[in-house]
Amino acid sequence: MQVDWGTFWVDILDATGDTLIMVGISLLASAVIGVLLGVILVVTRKGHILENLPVFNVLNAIVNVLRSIPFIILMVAIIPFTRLVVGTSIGTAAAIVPLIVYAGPYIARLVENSLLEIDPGIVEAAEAMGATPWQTIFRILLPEAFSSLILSLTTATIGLVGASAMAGAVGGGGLGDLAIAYGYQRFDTDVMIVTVVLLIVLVQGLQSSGNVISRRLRRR
Amino acid sequence: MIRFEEVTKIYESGKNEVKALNSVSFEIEKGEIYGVVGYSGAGKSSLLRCVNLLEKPTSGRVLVDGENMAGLSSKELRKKRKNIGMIFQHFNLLNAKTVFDNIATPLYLQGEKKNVIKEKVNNLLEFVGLSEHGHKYPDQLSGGQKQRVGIARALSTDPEVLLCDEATSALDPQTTSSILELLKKINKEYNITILLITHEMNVIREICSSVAVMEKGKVIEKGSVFEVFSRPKTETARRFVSSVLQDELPDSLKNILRNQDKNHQVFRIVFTGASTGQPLLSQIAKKFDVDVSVLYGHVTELQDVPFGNLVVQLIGDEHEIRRAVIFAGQGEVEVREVIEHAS
Ligand SMILES: Nc1ncnc2c1ncn2[C@@H]1O[C@H](COP(=O)(O)OP(=O)(O)O)[C@@H](O)[C@H]1O
Ligand SMILES: [Mg+2]
Repeated sequence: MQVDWGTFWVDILDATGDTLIMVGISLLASAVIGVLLGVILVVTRKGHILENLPVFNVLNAIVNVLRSIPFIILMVAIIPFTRLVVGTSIGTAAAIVPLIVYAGPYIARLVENSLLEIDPGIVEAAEAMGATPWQTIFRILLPEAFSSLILSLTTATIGLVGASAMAGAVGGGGLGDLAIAYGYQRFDTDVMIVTVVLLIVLVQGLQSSGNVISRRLRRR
Repeated sequence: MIRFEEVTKIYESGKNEVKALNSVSFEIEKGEIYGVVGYSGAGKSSLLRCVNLLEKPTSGRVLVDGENMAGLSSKELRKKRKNIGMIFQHFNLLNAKTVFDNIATPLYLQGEKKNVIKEKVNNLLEFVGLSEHGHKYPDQLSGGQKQRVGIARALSTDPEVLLCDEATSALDPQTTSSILELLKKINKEYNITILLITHEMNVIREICSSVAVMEKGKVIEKGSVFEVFSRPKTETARRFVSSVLQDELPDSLKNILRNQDKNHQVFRIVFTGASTGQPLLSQIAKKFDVDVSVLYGHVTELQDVPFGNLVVQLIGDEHEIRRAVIFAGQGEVEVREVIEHAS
């Protein structure tokens, strides 16, 4: 049974909206968590401005564990936690929780890498200027890494688009849900193609704007 | 101004221990340009970094203006660091910020007002000769220009001390000279005490008043630049001096040395200060029955004092040669016989 395209495009629009909401909210939250964790993972390591090996080792281990669980398993494994947070384990809101748990540590690693790419000499210069650790982080490290952080966040966003499509498999709504419900389970190739094309457009658009913004920030 | 008291620095990495500084003691007077020279790994950077406590001495003390750096609270230390500027071999500029903002960074950090910052940074830009470049980014500048930005940034908090870690080692000789001139100007105009470390003895010769030679974590020789250049005591110091004065004998002289006899003797004559202007050689030739043949040598300036180094052959009766040598070796002139294998 084929869908009626006269009305189905409304569903597609809704699904696209759901995907954008899922990705947007989880991006916002996981970016905050990721930047925070990433910064802590850098400044608490050996020889850095706020060296604290116990903190570093614990966070490092947590990030590693979360990063090594495939999203589809993570999603199921944390259902009790999801229910605790949003009261349900089905729907768009419920999909956002595992997305954050998934993307937070991922972004943390990307942020960590971006910050580690900064020449240690620059941190040393900040110290020699008499900068506080706080100033070193917010006035020196993050601004220096900003354009590379934007690229990292772009990568993370695209990862989230992919993961959010997977979240559709457990009733998370969005384009992934649509693709599975109609395209896969009902063998409606047209729906499949339309959703996949939409996802591709979305990813391309994100990557291009990420590149442009990052290049602007590099100002050269 | 800066006083090192038995400063020892040991780096521990796993089971390995590196003694980068081994009981270093010396003092730098206010207003001096003090140079520390040594080969790579001698401990120069460690020494410099102990001054503003980027490295904490394992034992011993560093006093800056009478204050023990390691005794300061972290807040006091940050304040003190604003009084100690630092420039680096690789400049360490903020790549995402303009030249103007780079120079202004220490001022932003201490919460200075916008208009104060603007005036100050513009003055500094002019002082280092970069007035036209304030809006540029570091990667649009040459190495010499980047170091000028580094210098302006270090001066923005009006420090009394400037630390230079191989500040010219990444620059070509011409740019090096212009940066050294700038450092000299800073020293003169602002009376800032400069401590610089380098592995290039010509840097020491061009701007320093005093020098310490480091080897294996120790200061093995120190004194005024003039003293160390004219009379190096250790083999290492001699090699550093040779690297700029080029007083090693060329190979072509080896033959002459090999063939010297009682009546053909080779001497090295070192003139210092006023003696450089004296017509010593012609006096020798007139007063004594010897011929003088100049084999090799040069005259240069150290700290605005002339300094000469000649290798001559005296030809004549053995007795006359000896008398001539005694005559020549009076006052500020030093005469040494040169034999093969040693100079
Ligand atoms: N952070 C460090 N950790 C371990 N060893 C170090 C460290 N910094 C310097 N060293 C060692 O200390 C010695 C002196 O180094 P350094 O002060 O950089 O000498 P220089 O500046 O004269 O080349 C070298 O053997 C170097 O390998
Ligand atoms: Mg060094």
